[in-house]
Amino acid sequence: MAIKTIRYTGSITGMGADIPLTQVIKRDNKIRVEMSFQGQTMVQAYDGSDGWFISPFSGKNEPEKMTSEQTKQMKEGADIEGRLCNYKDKGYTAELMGKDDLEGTDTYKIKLTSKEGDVSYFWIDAQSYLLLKESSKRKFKEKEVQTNSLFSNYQLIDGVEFPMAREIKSESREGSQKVTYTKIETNIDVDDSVFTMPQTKN
Amino acid sequence: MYRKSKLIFLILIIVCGTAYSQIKVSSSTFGAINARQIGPAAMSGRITSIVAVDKDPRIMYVGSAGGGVWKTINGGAVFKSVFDKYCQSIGSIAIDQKHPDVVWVGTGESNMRNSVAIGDGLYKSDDAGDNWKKIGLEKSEHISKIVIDPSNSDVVYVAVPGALWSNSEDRGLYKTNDGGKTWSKILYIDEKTGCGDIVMDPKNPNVLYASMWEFRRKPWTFSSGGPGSGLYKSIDGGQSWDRIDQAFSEDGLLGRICLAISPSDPNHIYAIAESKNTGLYESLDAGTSWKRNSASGNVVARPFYFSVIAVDPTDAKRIYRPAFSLSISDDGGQSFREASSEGGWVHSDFHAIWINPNNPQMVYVGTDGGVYMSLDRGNNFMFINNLPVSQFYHVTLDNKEPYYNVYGGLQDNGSWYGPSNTQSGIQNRDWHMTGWGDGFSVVSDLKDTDVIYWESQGGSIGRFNKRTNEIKDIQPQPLTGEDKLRFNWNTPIHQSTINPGTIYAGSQFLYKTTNEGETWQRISPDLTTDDKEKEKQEESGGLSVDNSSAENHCTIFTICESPADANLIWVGTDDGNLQISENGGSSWTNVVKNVPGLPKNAWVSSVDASKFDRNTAFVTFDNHAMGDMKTYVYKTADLGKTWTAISTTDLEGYAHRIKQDIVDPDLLFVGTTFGLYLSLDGGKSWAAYTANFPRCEVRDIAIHPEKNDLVLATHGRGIIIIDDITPIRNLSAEVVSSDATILPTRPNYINGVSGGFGLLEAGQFNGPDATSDAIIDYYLKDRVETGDVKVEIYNSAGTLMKSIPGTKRKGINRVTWDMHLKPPKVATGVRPDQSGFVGPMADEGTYTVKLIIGDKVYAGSLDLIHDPNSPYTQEDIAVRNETASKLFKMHEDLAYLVTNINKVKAETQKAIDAGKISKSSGEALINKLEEIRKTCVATKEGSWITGEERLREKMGNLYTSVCYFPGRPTDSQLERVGGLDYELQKAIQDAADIYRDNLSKVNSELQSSGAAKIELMTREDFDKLELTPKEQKNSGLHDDD
Repeated sequence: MAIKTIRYTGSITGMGADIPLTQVIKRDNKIRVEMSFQGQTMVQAYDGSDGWFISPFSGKNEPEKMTSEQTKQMKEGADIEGRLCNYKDKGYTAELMGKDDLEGTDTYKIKLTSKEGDVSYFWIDAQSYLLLKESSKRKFKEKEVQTNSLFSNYQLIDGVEFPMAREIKSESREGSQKVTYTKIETNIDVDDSVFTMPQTKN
Repeated sequence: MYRKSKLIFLILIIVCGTAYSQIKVSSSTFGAINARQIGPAAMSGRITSIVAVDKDPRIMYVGSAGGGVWKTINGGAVFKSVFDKYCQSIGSIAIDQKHPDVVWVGTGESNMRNSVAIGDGLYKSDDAGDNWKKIGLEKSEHISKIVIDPSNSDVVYVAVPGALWSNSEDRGLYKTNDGGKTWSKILYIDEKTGCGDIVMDPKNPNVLYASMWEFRRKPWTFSSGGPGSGLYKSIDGGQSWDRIDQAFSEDGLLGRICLAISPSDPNHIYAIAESKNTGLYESLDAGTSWKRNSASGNVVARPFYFSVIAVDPTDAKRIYRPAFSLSISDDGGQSFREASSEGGWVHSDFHAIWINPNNPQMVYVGTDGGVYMSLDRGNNFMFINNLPVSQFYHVTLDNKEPYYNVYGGLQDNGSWYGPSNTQSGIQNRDWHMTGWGDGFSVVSDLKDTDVIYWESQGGSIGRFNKRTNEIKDIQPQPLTGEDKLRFNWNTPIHQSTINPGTIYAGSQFLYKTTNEGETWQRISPDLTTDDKEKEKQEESGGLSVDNSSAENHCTIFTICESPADANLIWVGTDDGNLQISENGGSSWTNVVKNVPGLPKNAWVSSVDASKFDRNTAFVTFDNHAMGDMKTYVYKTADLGKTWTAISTTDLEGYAHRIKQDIVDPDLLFVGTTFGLYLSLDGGKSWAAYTANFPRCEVRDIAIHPEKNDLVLATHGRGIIIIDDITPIRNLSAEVVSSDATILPTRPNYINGVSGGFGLLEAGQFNGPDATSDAIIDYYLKDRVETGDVKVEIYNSAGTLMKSIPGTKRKGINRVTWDMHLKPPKVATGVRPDQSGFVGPMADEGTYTVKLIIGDKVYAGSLDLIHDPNSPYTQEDIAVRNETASKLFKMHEDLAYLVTNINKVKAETQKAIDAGKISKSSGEALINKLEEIRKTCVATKEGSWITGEERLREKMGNLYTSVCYFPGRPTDSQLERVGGLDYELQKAIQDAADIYRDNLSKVNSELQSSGAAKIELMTREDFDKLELTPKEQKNSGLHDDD
């Protein structure tokens, strides 16, 4: 419970280029993600109640509100210790589905259901108890989208095992995006204001 | 010296023999080499069940004969397969309408045709198809119907026809009262009779009607009907039953009976009862009395195969009879009419129908060729184009470049060919039909690949010419005085490997042609047992004679000319003969008696003669049609004199096909009714291939000799390709026991024709293409959880070209490199420019690959080879590379210029704000620089379509065009480079002038006020910059550097 903030620094592979990425999570439920490219910075953030983004890649530098579905996803990402931790207090129900073979590795498969009925699965290594995979199916309007994240390269930082690598796979596409963290820092000072949507010029 | 080394090698084998003899692998070993399911869905396949959620019928599940369960949540616009890990032969699906997330699936189709596949029990999902568990009836083999009590979800009835090929007690009507935990058999006649159908009174779930069916298949005959068949009624939830079929038959003998109960009037029931005088019966009093209505052709057609009748949800007199066609009656079945064909042909042979209970205008039907939807009560239909459940029997390949074609025939869907790759997705429109009927072997003449041999059922062989569209019937005809020719339903057509264009085909005799079927030479006597008792297919069918050639027996089923010796020919027959000729057919020896542990007359399903050794061959036998589901796989190394059984308990399901690899003699592939299996050690151990490979029936296997692809004909999931099996060939015992090894892959070609595009039409299946990137495969003994894994690629000068984060799974891992260098640094504009994503093509040559796992480094190499089929000369490519480099440098020069402009502007503004310089000289500098910047990059905010093109965008368009095309740029493009360079140099010069005049002025003012001068960033510092300068330092998101 000692960790109040985490800053992840790294890059994400995409479209032939490595894009620098920074992600800050602050207790309770605040997150800001930045990706920079050609001098422009894309921002996605959630301040505990509202999600917003700035997407200069589409030629617009003004912040915009996220849809409720996107906001829900940001909220999940803003959970600093992960949703499995104290899941009951957070309003989830969890079910141990038993042992499962994850690409040849023996794991425990856990099903986590939110109050709204959204389901996620977690695969935890049966020997090391490290989280190896998370899979979430979300309904976006009339579409079900399943994303899978594979976690690896665990390193002990400030007493906590952090995955320094994450591979994100969409069920509908071949290939994957890979996030590599070069630095993870905990309990840095971050002002609450960075999570709040800036006032627009108008 | 040679001898000595050979001796050492021999000793090594002996020493290592025990350790290395068996390469124990598991499905996870093949890791990330995901199979490519290319469909097609053009003809789709046989559908057995369609169900939807009453409250939201857009949520629909479709069960198929061999392609598993598919789910849509949008009425069919997008279908996803949800049952890949389990048996793909589906008999029935039911949704618990009270809890629509609860779905039941009975495996084992119950349309009991010759090619039907078995199931392995009943499954249940509590979460709308995300997870499944097996919930009993494991030995049922075939399940025809699942009915859930609408008032109590724990009460479920399952109709089990049961084993088709043998006696069995695991059949009848089953019931659970506890959601599937326990089962009781509540209606059972005998070992020959199962339950064909069940319906429940929707208003009183204790009232049930169940039809019992006696039936049996043997390889040479089928019988539907017998004393066990009958119709039963229960009014107490199945505790007691009354037989109520007295009106259906004069002699008391019945066959299959299908049932429907009117949702709007549960006393109004319909039954089609098979007898010697099959008819449709209607009862208005809940089965007490029956009236005989129509017995028109389609109503009474093939009762064993068409066992569905349906009533409109609101109109008890409107009934649908899916059979050869869809017949519709509005008068309770006294008269029928056919659906319209105005919108085009709807595939014949209907097996499933779903009518929307809230809107009976909406009707979905399932046929031998997929699902169709109607919005006018079944009169006109639209085809659902995205269900790739096509049922291939065989597959062959040609040698077309750059992408070979795949050829195969399908159950009730003719003969087809399509591309293995397209670069724009393999879509339905890419596939072409060459023949009609049921399709089986389709063979492209490798002497002239435009000539294609195909067939329909019972040996009707045709020849199709792609160039002219000519079709000619070339089936071998009986010679004068010769017996009737017996061709199998699925007649073999085989092409010589040694002599392309030499084609074999078989009836009871073996034939050979070397002139495209104009002349057939008979090169054998009758190679079968010629057992007259098994040649009575004209009597087959039981109560309804059904002689479609499906029961033709005592026929040749498989042919293989040895790739090591064209005079050595193997022939296997459906009645269990395994014949060899060593002299091109002059004489024959039956060697089946030498095969140990094999039941008599077991069907020879495939023979594969080794290309490495003429004495070696592999054979599969398939005895499932005698009720024996074991996997029979054998090897001989002495031309059939002795045999070794090489099947192990790793293999599941009866075997259709074995194939030895054409490079690694120890690598074997077996296709069974439950999937694809690989052995790396010549058959000592096996593992299922599960990487994006469903548990479907694999009926044929081909290997492309140049591309090294493994291509599978599946009976329900179309064609599946495993691209480039080179890494699997290299999984030696040594590799498998190593911690990590970089595996070789096929050569990576550059400079070939690229491109190809096509619209991905909405609602169409889109088969994935193979990657055109370079592939780097490596093996990991265990998943890496605690160290980093990356792959680095270096050129011959030792320069790092690319660093790729590695995957870390157990088994084979795969990363890809697009064979492009780093993209240029691109000037900052209002939005990113595409050039920042495009690097110039890498050069031909050998690259060093480093696999770095934690602190360990494993080395390998990667060859980029000029595509031998490339139309571009080295000279053209050199011009392209030179031009790309030039534009690359121009991009970076511009980026450097704009970086400095932005830097000077920002620092000047700061100085103004701090009162260190005069506003007038500061603003003059800023304004002049901004004028230049506006000519350099797009600056207007707005959507993508601002149309604003400045120097960066103009250079970007040219640069990406040049990079994407492998050959010489156009003259116009080459000239344009000069024009843009002129603009660039002018901007650089203009900025230099401003720095000289205005910046100097600002700097002297700064000096006067004791502040530091504004310095330009040096080019050296700029070149060291990461792609993106760190900005927004005030957010707390970055280090305070």
